[in-house]
Amino acid sequence: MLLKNAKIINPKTNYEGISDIRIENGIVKEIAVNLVPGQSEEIIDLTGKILTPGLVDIHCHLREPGFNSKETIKTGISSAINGGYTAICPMANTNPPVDNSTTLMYTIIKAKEVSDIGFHPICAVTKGLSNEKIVNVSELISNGAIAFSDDGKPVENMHLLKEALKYVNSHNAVIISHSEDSSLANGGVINEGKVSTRLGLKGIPDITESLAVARELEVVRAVNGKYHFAHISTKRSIELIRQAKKEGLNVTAETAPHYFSLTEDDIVDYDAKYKVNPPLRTKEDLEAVITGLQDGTIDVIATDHAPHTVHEKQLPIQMAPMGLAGFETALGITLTYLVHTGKLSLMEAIKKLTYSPASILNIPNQGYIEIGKEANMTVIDLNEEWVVDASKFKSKCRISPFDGYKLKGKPKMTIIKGKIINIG
Amino acid sequence: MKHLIDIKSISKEEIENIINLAKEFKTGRKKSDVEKKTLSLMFYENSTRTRCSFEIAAQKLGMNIINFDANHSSLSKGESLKDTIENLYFLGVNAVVIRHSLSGIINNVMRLVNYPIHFVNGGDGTHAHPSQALLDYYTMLEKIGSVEGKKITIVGDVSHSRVAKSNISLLSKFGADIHLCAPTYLQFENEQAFNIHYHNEVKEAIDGSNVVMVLRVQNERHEKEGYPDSSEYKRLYEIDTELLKKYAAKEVILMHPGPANRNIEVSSELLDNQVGKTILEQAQNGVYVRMAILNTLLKGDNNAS
Repeated sequence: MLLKNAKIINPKTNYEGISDIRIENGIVKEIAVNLVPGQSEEIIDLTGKILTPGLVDIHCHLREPGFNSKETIKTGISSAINGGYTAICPMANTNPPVDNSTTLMYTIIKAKEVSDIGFHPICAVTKGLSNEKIVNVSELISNGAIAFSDDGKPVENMHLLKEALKYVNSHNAVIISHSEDSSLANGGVINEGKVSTRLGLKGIPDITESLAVARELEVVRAVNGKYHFAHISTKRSIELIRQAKKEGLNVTAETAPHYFSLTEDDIVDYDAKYKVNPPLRTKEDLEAVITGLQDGTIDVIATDHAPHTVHEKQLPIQMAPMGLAGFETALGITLTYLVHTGKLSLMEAIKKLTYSPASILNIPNQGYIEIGKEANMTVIDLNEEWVVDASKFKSKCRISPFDGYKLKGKPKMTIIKGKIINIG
Repeated sequence: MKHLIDIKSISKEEIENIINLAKEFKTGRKKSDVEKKTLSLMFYENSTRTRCSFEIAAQKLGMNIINFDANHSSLSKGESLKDTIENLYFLGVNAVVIRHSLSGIINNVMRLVNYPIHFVNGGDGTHAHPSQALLDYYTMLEKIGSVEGKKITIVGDVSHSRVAKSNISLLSKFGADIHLCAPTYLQFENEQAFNIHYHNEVKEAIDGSNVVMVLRVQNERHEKEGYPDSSEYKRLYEIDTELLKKYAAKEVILMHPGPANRNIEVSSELLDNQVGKTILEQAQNGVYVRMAILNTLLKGDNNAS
């Protein structure tokens, strides 16, 4: 198969240019200008399109096992592919949680049944996400765990975090932090600020996050660990991580599209579709997130795809669960709010969606386009204007704060091991 | 005007119309336009005066009243508020007054209910209590003519007060000089939320005030973590005759949405003297203001049962 005339963006080599790519048996065979098609070779003309490494999401929730009415591995994967993703790393907070090999292998088998998508589960740090006992790290890695996180809940026992970090790192894996101080987050609904005061909703102060970041950075420093911060949302957290990186700590960070596109001011009418954790913050925080993306403090854009049923998201905002469907809007939001506004180059934006996340977790065959490697790629129309219609999501979570948003830039094809899946 | 959810969503003109209509009801010049329509009172939180006030208002208007027993309703069996309200609509209910502990619950359910029933907020969480603000405003107008440029001080548990928020919202529309006074632990989490004056010191807050509105300070509050004993509050913030005489304007009016904690936020002596009588007049005016609210919302509907 020959992909012709696409503009290739390959952040690993910083290559940007028009080339043809030949794929055979799911492997990239050749990359060159003006490749001559073979006699019966299928030709895909990608003139005017962008071809990037397949998008890699290192933060999502697929809900299976245990919460299949919110999402299943099957619907979650369809949603990811529809968003342009060729690899995903689901978090462990299912029921039972992915803290043991049986559950881990169940999810991997389920995923294999529906797709060849890179499927690399993140296992719990502590058994039962209970902050008590470290999981069997070596065994889980041998069965396919890519990283470790209690995401959804913080690890608040600092002794345990210290020991877990040393042990996980000794197996060349990272711990991903859900940075939250639960005594401050307790019962909060939205960001603590003028909006929460006006609406009469219990607030989640910004130090809920930065306090945990500060404390965890001290643990990382003490054990010289490798550590990744999930869903960073506040100005102060970003300042702390920036400083830590400057001092040479081996830390990385991610944010999610809603933290550089929405703020607390967007929350209208007590609608729980805006309820996420961490909560939508202030304009000042949003600007700090963008600065953090620009100066490299934030390495990764992850979706934090956290689906719930429509019914749950229609509950009173205090009772509705936190989280939004992220796969199918992440690229469009990134291109619209960062690339088309000139805040981030296309190369930088794609890097944070592909090469950086794949490198941080050491995901094989993902994040780059390279001869001899699997053909995992995404075809993007940078200028297509489209309107988000949540009712058409492949995810079960057909409700989104971005519903009705006009976006510019859209994934058109997801190519997994050389197989093309067209996106409507 | 089809619903009354909060003060911010109604105009100055709509407020003035309600006030004028309430005046006509009070003087007996106005007859009901909503006889035989049906009102359901859905009170999911304890309330004596708001509930009674709406009930009496509806009676005076010749309405049918369904007192919905929240504790024995199907809601306690897990039925959603949306389903309950849609059922009430099909039973012939034209309007519901909802009192609930969750802020914004009416905004939420209004978005989901598919039938033209009228919603009245009878107090939701720490969000809004618009009928209270309207009756407070009515009482102030009766007593001091206008609120423009007048110093109005609200003292008490500001952070948990829907009454304070609805009053701020309403009085701001009419140009009052609004001051809020509370200890740090009962102040709003974020002072930028409202463009008004904030005080921790009560003398300064009520200095020259034309209206002092005292809010209820719940005893239970002081038993939670993060709060000192209620004696701390009483020591610094209890409003009594001497304090008012010494600092407030000469003709100051004392208000309280009730029920008052005697000798915590306001002295028993002050409540029982002539100054305290305004609080009872507030309650009385509440009936006429709520008649005006119900009459305004339901007038002209042709779906009376």
